[in-house]
Amino acid sequence: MNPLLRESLEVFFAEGHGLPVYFYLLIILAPVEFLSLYLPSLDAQMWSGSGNLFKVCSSTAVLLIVYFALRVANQEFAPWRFKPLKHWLRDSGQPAGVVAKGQVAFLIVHIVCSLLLSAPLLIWAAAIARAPLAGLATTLALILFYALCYGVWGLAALVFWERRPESRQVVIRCFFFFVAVVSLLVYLPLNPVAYLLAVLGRQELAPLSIAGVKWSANIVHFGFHLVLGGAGLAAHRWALKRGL
Amino acid sequence: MPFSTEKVVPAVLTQARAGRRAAVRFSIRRRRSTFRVLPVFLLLSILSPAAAAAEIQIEPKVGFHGVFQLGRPFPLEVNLANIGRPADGILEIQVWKGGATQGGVPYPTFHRREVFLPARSRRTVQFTIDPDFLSRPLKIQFTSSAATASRELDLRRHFSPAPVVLSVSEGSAVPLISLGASLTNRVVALTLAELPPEPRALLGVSHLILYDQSLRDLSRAQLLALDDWLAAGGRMVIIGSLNFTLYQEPQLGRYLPVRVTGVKRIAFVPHGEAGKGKAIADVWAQTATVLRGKIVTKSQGLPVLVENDWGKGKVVYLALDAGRPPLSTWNGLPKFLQNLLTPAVGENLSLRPQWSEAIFSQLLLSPSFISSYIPTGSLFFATIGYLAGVFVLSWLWQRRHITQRTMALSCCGWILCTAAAGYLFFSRGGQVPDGVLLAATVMENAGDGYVEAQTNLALFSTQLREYSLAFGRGWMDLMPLAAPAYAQPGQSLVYRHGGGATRVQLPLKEWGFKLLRARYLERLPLSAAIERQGEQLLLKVQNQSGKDLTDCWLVAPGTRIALGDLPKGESWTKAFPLGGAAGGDNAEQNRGRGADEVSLREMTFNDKTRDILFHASFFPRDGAEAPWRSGAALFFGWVRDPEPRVEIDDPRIRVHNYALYRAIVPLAGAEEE
Repeated sequence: MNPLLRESLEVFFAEGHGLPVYFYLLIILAPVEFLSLYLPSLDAQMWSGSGNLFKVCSSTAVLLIVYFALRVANQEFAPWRFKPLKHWLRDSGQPAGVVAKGQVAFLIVHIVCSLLLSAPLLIWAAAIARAPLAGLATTLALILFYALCYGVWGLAALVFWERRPESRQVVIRCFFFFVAVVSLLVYLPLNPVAYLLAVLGRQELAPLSIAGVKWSANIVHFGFHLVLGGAGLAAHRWALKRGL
Repeated sequence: MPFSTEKVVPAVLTQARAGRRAAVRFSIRRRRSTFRVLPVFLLLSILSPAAAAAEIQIEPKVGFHGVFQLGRPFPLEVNLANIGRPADGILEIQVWKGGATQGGVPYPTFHRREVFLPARSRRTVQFTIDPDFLSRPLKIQFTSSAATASRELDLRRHFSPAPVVLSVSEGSAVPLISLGASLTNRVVALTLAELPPEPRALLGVSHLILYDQSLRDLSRAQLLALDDWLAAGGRMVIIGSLNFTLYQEPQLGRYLPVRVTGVKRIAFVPHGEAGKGKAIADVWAQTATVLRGKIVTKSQGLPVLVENDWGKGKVVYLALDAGRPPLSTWNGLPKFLQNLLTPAVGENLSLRPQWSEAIFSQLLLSPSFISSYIPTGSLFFATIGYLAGVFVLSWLWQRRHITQRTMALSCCGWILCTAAAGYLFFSRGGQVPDGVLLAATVMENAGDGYVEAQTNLALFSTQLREYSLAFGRGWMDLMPLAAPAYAQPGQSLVYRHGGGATRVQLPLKEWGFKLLRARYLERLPLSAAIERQGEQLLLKVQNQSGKDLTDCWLVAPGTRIALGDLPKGESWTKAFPLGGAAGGDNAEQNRGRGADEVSLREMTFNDKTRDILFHASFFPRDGAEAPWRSGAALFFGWVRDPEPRVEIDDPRIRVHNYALYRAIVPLAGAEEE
């Protein structure tokens, strides 16, 4: 097993330092799901209280899982328990690729655990809101995709500013809110929550028109996130190599 | 004779060749003729199925001889003629509702009836339709596997802004010829068979005039339709004739306020402008004894004009024979007859219960209502159970009670089990209904044992499915609440007629809803009367219905008295001091309020839904012109387990029925005070 992955699993699960992350996730998602039934609203010819239950829960789950993925990747939980990168790269002589793979693998493990734990709540919400199974599967896949695309920037921040944890925290929060707000302002379908709601609501998204050329909203959305995630991975790998 | 083979053989050969040629020619000719006939056969083979197929012709008849009142339901008779093979199909009428006049988007309603047309047959199908606007044509379509036919009809040349006056007379409508010119209403002479069998179809008719007409041939459906139309506010004018035996028949007699005994000549002195007091001698008049109602005019001891209330409507009986001389030649006859056709009192719109999306959203916000269609309790306990399981597993793991492998397997197992079980429970079980139907009814006394019920309906769906609502006898009106302009287009209503009932098909999406209003007139022996006697209010309530009245109240300016429950079969006669001197445990004083305004604000019941319906719908707070704002006395009580006026016959649809009986009586003398 990758030594970095083993260390992360040990700190997070064996020692229990990562359990609060999942506690926060569940303790926020569960009341949101329950209370959204009692905070209904009436749309035109549509009673949206229970009908929107799955949309509300999915949006909350996307935000929470992406946010915690960024923080976990950034080693904000029990940072003192993790060995520094200098140790892995220089003292242990691990190549940058192994370190990168270990960190990405642990990010994936964390995201999968988050998804698994929130899955029953999302599935129940889908059942109550009569959401189709295809919509449920799409939502779970999209959450995984977004958490990976954004989470790798947490890894990049960790490598860039390893010795300045406060700066890292500020940077990844700013990054999270910046991307969320700018995507809302520039082109709505870029935003993960807006896109997810449109997919669940079976709405047609307006294409992006640049210099007379129209781009499909799906292509723009996934292209943007693939570029974002790819750039995050590249920056992470580049920073690790620079650290060597 | 010498035989020469040299000569014989060529001759035989020639003959044989000639025979062969002839055979070839014949064969060619036969082939040619076959080729000539073949196209004919082909043509016949193409045409023969068409000749065998059904061919449908549609001939519609609109309203009463082509006349109807705009904005009111009217009859539509569709004559179908099939000149081909049998056709089993659906006759559909597309009617446009909504639009600018209703403050919403236009949407089509469809009236459908299954029709079987035998080969070479004719059939007449009757509908009652109610378009909101006429700029789009009415579309009539017959669809079957054998044939399809359609026809569009422009209704604009048929409508009349005023209600229609119908006249039914055995021989002629002599007295009505001159009447037609002086009235703003269109007068239409009908035969008895042309009277519609549905009361709704008569709602655009203000008066029905019967003269010299036996009602023996009237069908039961037509009689019931007339009864309900009268109870809903229709007016029947029965003009006497020399053939007095017709008026002794039970079918006509049931409407008459008198018992006709014979006929005699009298000198009739008309009053008012029509006659200017000049007597008309030797007028034929029926002799009769009054059974019910009020004698308006008497002449030589005979009741000449008698009026009797029938629900919200009225029956007017004129004993004089207006179709025979000397009365038929009298100049003042049109004016005199016109005076009989007094218009009905218009509906007080402020008495209508309010119904809107805002009220419905208030109801849905009520936690007790939410829990009726969403398993909130189950979701709460499922969530708690799931979280508890996860916490227990993590605690066991932290305490090293279980191994890493066991922990991983248990966690995955717990998550999968709870997710799957919860999905099955919440999607298929959990007593989640497919839909919820809320019916909130206000009943008011319409007189003569009739009750007018105005029902607000909300059908709310948790599934994508079609709903079918059946309306029993006595329903007069069904109006979907105008969909706002921003609403999704494509909302349509389908009326399915047949089997003696009308069903409304409503397709709804998941979490979609539809608001409707319905009006009924039905016989219900429940009445309440309030009289002011000096400084006292006299309340008389008779509950001969099969339902208890609960939580009854008497509210008048300055007084609010809780009366408790009135069980079925019982009655009350109670007197209460007016103006806040009631005293007693149940009386509440409303000092500090306007003298004429009754206070309903603080009234609450033990049910949140009832509270919302009472304050937002039945007695809206913003109803400034409502009678209870200006010196009226109210009596009301909730009907326990009211009869469902709309049948839905589906256990997967949860029905909530609320009904309130009320009587609103303006207090004589309140204005003077």
